[in-house]
Amino acid sequence: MSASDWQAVLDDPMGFDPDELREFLSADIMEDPADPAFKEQLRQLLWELVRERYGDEGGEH
Amino acid sequence: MPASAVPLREQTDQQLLAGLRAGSEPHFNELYSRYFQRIYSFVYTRIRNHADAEEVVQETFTAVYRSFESYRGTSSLLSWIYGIAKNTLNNRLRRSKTEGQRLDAMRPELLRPPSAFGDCTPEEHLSLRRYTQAISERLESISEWQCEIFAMRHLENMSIREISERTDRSSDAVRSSLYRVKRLLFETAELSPDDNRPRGGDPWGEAGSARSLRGAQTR
Repeated sequence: MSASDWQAVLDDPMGFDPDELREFLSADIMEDPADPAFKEQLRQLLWELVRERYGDEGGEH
Repeated sequence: MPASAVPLREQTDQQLLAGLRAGSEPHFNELYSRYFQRIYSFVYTRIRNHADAEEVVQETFTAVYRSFESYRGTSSLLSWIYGIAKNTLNNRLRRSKTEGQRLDAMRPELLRPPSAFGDCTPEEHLSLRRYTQAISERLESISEWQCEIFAMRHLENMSIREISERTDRSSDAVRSSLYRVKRLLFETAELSPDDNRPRGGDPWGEAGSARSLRGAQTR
């Protein structure tokens, strides 16, 4: 995330705690503690939601 | 440069969201990957229990994905998702506090299981004790509310919707909880009372994969 993007987040009208938000943002460089089976199960569930709402273009991207 | 020419990993959240709204699975996958670990780590750091963290993460993501249509871009997607995660987590922590107070008020004798050891030889008794200990160690990660949900589903034959209404949890959260308990029970059932090694059989009459367990609970 660029400095300007980060500033845009901090300037957000929702007014969150910057330290906590920074922790949230940087969590993706830490060790992933999640169960891969859960991650994949949730991915499939969410993809079904997306397909129901927006349709499936057939993965042509 | 048009968004489609930019590699997915370098696309902005807004570009990924646009692709997702067009039904693109690669855009969806990238956005999911970008936020899964952030949300999971954020929640797990505060709860320190994988079962509860999975429930909060699932509730957060389903809320996010069901609300994409109402997202107008007045705040960044990052802070919007973070806000939903934080609200879901806070709701969960409040609910845990209430449940803890309710359990504290219960009579202890009602929580004590009946004796599991009847007429056994000393060898069988020892074997069963070891087996029970192994099961207890496996099941320690299941919280009280998850046991309640499992009992409602499989002992009282309640529907997902009924459980959802009674426990004030979303249907997705109930399903996620059932899946986790079933998976743990299945792993536990594979222990042998004799030597605690996997037996190889399928005492539930179901294949052991996560997918089949998930499918079984929706039947």
